Formats: sequence, structure tokens, C-alpha cells
Amino acid sequence: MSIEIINGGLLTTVQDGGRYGYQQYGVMVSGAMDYRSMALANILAGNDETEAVLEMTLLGVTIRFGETCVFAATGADMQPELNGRRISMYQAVRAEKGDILSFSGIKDTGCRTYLAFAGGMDIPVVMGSKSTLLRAGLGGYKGRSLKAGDKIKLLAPGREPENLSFRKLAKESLSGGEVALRVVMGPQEDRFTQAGIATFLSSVYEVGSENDRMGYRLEGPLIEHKKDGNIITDGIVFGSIQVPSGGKPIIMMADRQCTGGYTKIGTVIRPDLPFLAQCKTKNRIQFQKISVEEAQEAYIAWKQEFKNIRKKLDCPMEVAEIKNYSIHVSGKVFQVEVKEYAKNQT
Amino acid sequence: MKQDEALTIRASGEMAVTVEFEAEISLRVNRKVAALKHVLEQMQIKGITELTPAYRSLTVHYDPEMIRYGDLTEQLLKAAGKMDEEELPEQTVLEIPVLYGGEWGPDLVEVARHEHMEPEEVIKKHSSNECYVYMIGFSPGNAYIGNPEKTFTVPRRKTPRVKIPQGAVTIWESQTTIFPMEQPGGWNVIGRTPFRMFDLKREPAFLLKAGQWVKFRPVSEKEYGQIEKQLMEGTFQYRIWKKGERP
Repeated sequence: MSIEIINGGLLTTVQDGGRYGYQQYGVMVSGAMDYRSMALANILAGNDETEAVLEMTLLGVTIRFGETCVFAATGADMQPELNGRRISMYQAVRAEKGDILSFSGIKDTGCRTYLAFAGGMDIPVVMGSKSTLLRAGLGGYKGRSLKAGDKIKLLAPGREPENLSFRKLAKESLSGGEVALRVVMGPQEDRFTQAGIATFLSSVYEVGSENDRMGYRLEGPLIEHKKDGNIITDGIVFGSIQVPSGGKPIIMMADRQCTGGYTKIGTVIRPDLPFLAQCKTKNRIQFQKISVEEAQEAYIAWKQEFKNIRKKLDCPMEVAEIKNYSIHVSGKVFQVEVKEYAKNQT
Repeated sequence: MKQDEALTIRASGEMAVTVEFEAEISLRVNRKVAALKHVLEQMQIKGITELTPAYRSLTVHYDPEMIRYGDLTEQLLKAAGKMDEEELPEQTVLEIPVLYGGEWGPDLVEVARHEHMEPEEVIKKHSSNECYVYMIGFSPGNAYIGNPEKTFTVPRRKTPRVKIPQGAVTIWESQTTIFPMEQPGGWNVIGRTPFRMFDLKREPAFLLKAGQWVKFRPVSEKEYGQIEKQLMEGTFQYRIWKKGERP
């Protein structure tokens, strides 16, 4: 009925779409750092987009299946093997009872890998979410990252999504060292000089060594304030770019505090946050200004794409033509129906 | 950015806006934040997903698939227009017992020296008025509580402590926070309360809410122990009264 963790990897936590509704009480939202990879893993496994998954960082887990289970891994390529045989990322795969799934280090780019199980994991819902908030020891699997010996029950072992053999997607291109992030300027854009804003929009920044689920500190040209980087504490969102008086930006990520007292020059838009979430130390970043309206168009298109992908995976084939034949073989008549499929464009 | 004489609406990405009132930390301005939050909760505007109040601003989180920026800002200005009409819910005061000084208030003596007072005077001043909960932030249940009278001028410690225990009552100038869990902090630790700011096993899990009041009451080590015991047994009666009707 469960999966057993044989090796917990470097930092593996249970995450879902996030814990919304409690920011007024100071509860950080958490949730997957890379929403897109989480959503795609879930869609491949036939789950809701925001079902809880395992988020693995840099080094993945080894697990033993106690039951037949369909799973899918997305995000950074951690070279998964099932019973020692290499299997593909971005594909729904069935494991049998006793099978061992192991991930190792990352090949190519990215730093986070997502593992979804068809039907989901039996993790208690705390304040509306299964996400782990490490800093408060809250939610997820006992409020902490996974380690050897942990056992997680599956909600629907053996469940198989439609068209299992067709449930695969092209490998995504993750941050390959340099990403362009679209930003909506503000809320405190007016606390910076013209020169400061020009610096921000025209420079290349590098991901500093302090980068985690809370935030990414960037290295690069200092952004000039009119006065300083302090404000009367106000609300922070996923992607807020804080610039304290020192002039170096910090981008607030999944485990961010709900409020903060530094000037925010802009906000990275949601569709671009997955690229940042896959960035490692020394990856390069450039910012590109867009309007709120453009950002909302981009967001809506981004969300629509998940729906399209699901549709394509759920019914990958369209019947182009049906032909009926009567075949006479040694005095007997066989009615044969032949369906011709047109494979959907991928 | 959209501006009205009363407020400023600033985009915070494509899924939130921050509505700002005057740039000051005061009861007067924070009541506007509470009023706007209340009006928005009454209006139930489709697409608004969450409201985060702060000292002088309200961050409104929304879903652009349900409402766009233009429509949202229009609705927010409409809501602001109703702020005076709507009656705010009653303000309550919760009494919070505090064991001041000693082992659990290692900075009390230093605070007293900074304020040119005796430690007893610091305790008296800290516990004499009803104080206002401006907002909750930093960590789950971490309330920022302000004394409407300017009580102290003590700054934060030069070197923050790596570990401050849960329940620590800490001050910075006229503000108090109570630690909901063990966490680092630079505020001056003057005492400890047996109350838990955040307890998932309790309903409601959060003891305090932005916009309410608290009154600190000094207790002896003996009473602290009794309260702690009653809390554990579930027999403790919280003392709560309506603002202005102090028993």
C-alpha cells in the first residue's frame, strides 16, 4: 500500500500547488518551486495539476514500491532507473510491487525534479495543503524532508491513467545557464532612480550562492535607490524582487515570508518563475519589462497550455476512418471493423 | 499605479495589487486597512483569492483568469468608497499573561538601563495599556503589537540571537512581538508567556488576528506554572473583553 524511501536524496519534500488563504496569519505559501514541472508530472500521471508530488533537489531519491503504481518524473534530468534500467523522464511508467526506482545526480541543466504518483500520496492536508513548510516544521511528511525508512501511503495504488503507453512529453528545455525573466515593474518602482531602473533592466545578473526555496540572491550591478531600500513592511508575492539598501536584488520564492520591509522594484511573472526555480548558482539572468495586461495574457495562455496538454494525453488518437469488411473463410463469415487513426500533432 | 486622494493601488505582479494608505505606522491608518479588508470580505468580489493586511497597506491577491487588473482596480476604488459606510466588527481585547525578567527575560535589565528606568517600571509601562495588533508576518502567528503610546525607544539588538524560544515576549521601541516558535531574532527579550500564538491542535489555530487588541499582565512564576498546566488540561479560560469595556 505504500512506497518506502530507501535514500532520501539531498532535499526531498512533499509539495503541491501551495497553502493559500493563511498569509494574513503569517503562514508562508510554500508549494512547488517549479509549478510547470509539478503540473506536467501530475498530468502525465493522470492527476489534478496541483496534486502533491515529491520535489527533489540536485540529488534524487531511491524508493521501493510496495504496490503496483504508475509514476512520472519531470524537471531536471536526474537519470531515473527502474530496477537498474534507465527510463525516460517526462513519461508515465508503471512499476510493479517490489520495483526499485532510483534517481541520481543531474545530467545537463536544472536543479529540481518532480515525481508524481497516479492517484496521489496519502499526506495529511494541513490548512488546505499537503506542502511542506520546513521553517515551521509544518505540513508534508511530518513537516520535514524525506529520509531513509520513511513510508508514504498511496491513495490509489494500481490506478492507471488513460492511454498509458502514450503518456509522454518532449523533454523540456530548462535554464541552460542564461534565462530572460519577464517582470511587471513595481510596486515600489518609484523608489528607484532612472539610472537604477536602467541598470536593473539592462544588466546581466548572476544567481548567487545563497539560493533556496525562500529566495534567490543575485550578484551584479548595484541598483540605485532615490533614498534607501526600506519601506513600511507590506505584502510579498511569489517572484517579488526585493532590493535592500545595498542594491543587490533578492527574488522571493515558494517559502518566502508573506510580508517584508524592503523596496520591490518588480515582480517576475508566474509563467517565468519555473525557469528561475531551475537555476543554479552562477546561472545568468536578465530582466525584461512587460505591462500588467501583457503579463495577464501570458499567465492565461500558460495555464491554458496545461489543459491542452492534458487533453492531448487523454485522447492521443483521433479515428480518421472506419471500414467494415465481411470476410468469408471456409464457409464462415467474419465481420471485421478496421479503424484508421490519425496521430495528433505533437 | 492608480491613485485616488485616499489611496494608491500598485501592481505586485499579474496576480496581486497592494493598496496603500498614508505612509505612517499609526492606529488611524491601520484602521483604514482593516476597514478596506472588511468591505472587500463583504463584497465577495469574484476572483479575489486572499487579503494580506500590513501596517498601512492591504495586498489583494487575485486570479487573472477570473478578474483582470482593470476591473479589479475599479472594484477596489468602489470598495474604498464604501469604507465609511460599513460598520467594522467589534474590537476585542485579549489578556496575555507575561512572566517578566529573570531567565526568560534576559534583556529586561539592559532595556531598563537604556530607558533610564528600573526594571519594575519597564514592566509596569509595558503592561499598563491595551496594545493594538497591527499585522501578522515573518512566521505563522508572529504578531506585530504596537502600544498606542510611545513607551520605549530601545533599538533592536546589534547582534540578533540565533535562537529565541517559543513564547518569548520581545520589544523594539513601542512594539512587541511574541515568538510563535523557536526562531532567530534581534528584538529584546523581556519575558515569556505560556500562551501559544500558533497551535494546530487548537481551534482557532492562531491566537491573534490583525486589528484586535491585547493587554499584557505580569504574572509570578507560580501563576505562570498554573496557567501552563490549565492550558495543557484544556481548562484555562481566556480573558477577553470588548474594547473600552475593561473589567
